[in-house]
Amino acid sequence: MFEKIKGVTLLMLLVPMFLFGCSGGGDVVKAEKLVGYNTERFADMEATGELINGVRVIEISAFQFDFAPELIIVNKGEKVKLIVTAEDVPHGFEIEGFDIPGYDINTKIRLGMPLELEFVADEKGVWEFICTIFCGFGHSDMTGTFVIR
Amino acid sequence: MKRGVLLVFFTLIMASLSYGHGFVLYDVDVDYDKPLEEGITQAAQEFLGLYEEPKGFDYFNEMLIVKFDRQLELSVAIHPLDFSVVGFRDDSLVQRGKKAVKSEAEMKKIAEGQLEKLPSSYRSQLRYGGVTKLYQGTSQFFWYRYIGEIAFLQERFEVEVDPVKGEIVYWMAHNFFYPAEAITVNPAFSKEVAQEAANMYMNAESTDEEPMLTIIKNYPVWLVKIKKLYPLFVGLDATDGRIIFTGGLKGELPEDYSYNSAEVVETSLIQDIYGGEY
Repeated sequence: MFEKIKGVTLLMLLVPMFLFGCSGGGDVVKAEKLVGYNTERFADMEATGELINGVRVIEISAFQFDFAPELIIVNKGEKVKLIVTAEDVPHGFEIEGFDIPGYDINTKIRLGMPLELEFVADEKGVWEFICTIFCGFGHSDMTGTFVIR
Repeated sequence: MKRGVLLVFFTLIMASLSYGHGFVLYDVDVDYDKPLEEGITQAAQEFLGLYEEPKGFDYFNEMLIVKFDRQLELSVAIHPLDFSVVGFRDDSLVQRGKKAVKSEAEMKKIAEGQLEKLPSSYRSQLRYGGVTKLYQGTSQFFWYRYIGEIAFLQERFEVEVDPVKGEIVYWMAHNFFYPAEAITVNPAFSKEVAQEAANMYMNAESTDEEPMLTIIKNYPVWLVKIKKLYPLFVGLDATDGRIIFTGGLKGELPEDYSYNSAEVVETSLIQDIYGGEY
C-alpha cells in the first residue's frame, strides 16, 4: 500500500515535469540564460579609454573598413570625450539612436582633422556606431558597439 | 531571470536599438578617389550611350548610383569594384495616363528576360518571390536570394515593368555580400527559444505567428513577431541571441515566407551559456 502511494506520488511529480518540459519549460530556461548572457556580458569588462580630469577620453581610429576599438564601454554618468581620427579616406561617425547634442552626424572627418565629441553618458544601453560617409566598397561593414553600463 | 534586470534592459533596448547601417546615402562625395569617380561615371555613360557629366552620386547597399540631370529620374547603379552595371532607372519610360495593355503574366515574362541577362552564378541563387503594383501603374517583380530554404532579408533582384509598352523602367541586382559557402545558415538555438527570449527582452507577449529564419549578410537571424502596444518584429542574431533590431523588418522577404525549420546546431558558446558558464 505504502509502495503504491509512493509510486503515485512520484508519478504526480514526474508527469507535470515532463509536460512542462514538452510545453516549453526547457525553452524558457534556455531563453533566460540567453537573455542573461546578452544583458550582462559587458558588466565585468574594463571601461575603454583613460580617465583624465574626470573625463573618459577615448581615441578611435576610423579606416577602411573598420573602427579601432570596435567595442567601447563607458559607465553611466561619466563625461565622455571621443576623438575620432580618419586614417585613410574621409569617414563619418554616428552612434545610431544615441543623440549627442549639437553634433551633426553628416560631419565629414577629414585626414588630419580629428573629430572631438564630448557628452555625458546619461543613458544605459547598447548602440551600434557606424561610418556615415561613403568610404568605399565595404562601408557597410564599418561598425562598432558602444555600451553605457 | 531577475525581473529588475529585464525591465532595465527592456528600457535600454527601446531607447537604443536601431539596426542597419544606412542602406542609402544621398549625394555622396567620391572625389577622394578619382579612379572610382571616373570609373563609375564612364560605366554609366557607356551604358546609357550618354556623354554628359552626372549630377551626383547616391550610395545604396554598397553600390553607387550615378544620377543624371533630368526632370524624371535617370540613373545607373554601378558596382564600385569592377564598375559593372548592376541597376538602372529611367522614369521617363513610364507611360503615364495611358491604358495598361500588358497582363501581369506578360510583364513577368518581360522581367524574366532581364533576369536571364544576369550571370548564371548570381541568377542560380535567386527564386521568384512576388510582385508589387506601384502607384504609377508599373509592376515590380522580385526574386530573392536563398540558401536552401532560407531567404535573405536584404539581397534580391527586382525589375519594374510599365504596363503600356512593356518597357523595363527599373531593375536592380542587389549586392550579394558573402558567397554562400562563407555563410552560417544553422541557428544555434531553436525558434521556441527565440520566441521566449524576444518576449523576455521586450517584456511582451507572443503573437500567433511563429518566428521566421532569414539571413543577413553572413549569419542567420530569427525574426520574431511580438505583441507590445502593437505587433513589432525583434531580430535576434541566431548565433548568440543578441537583438540586432526591433520594429519593422529591415528589408524584404518573399510573399508568404515563413521558413523556420532549419536544423539547430548549438555552438560551444550557446552550450556554455546553457550550461551556466557565463
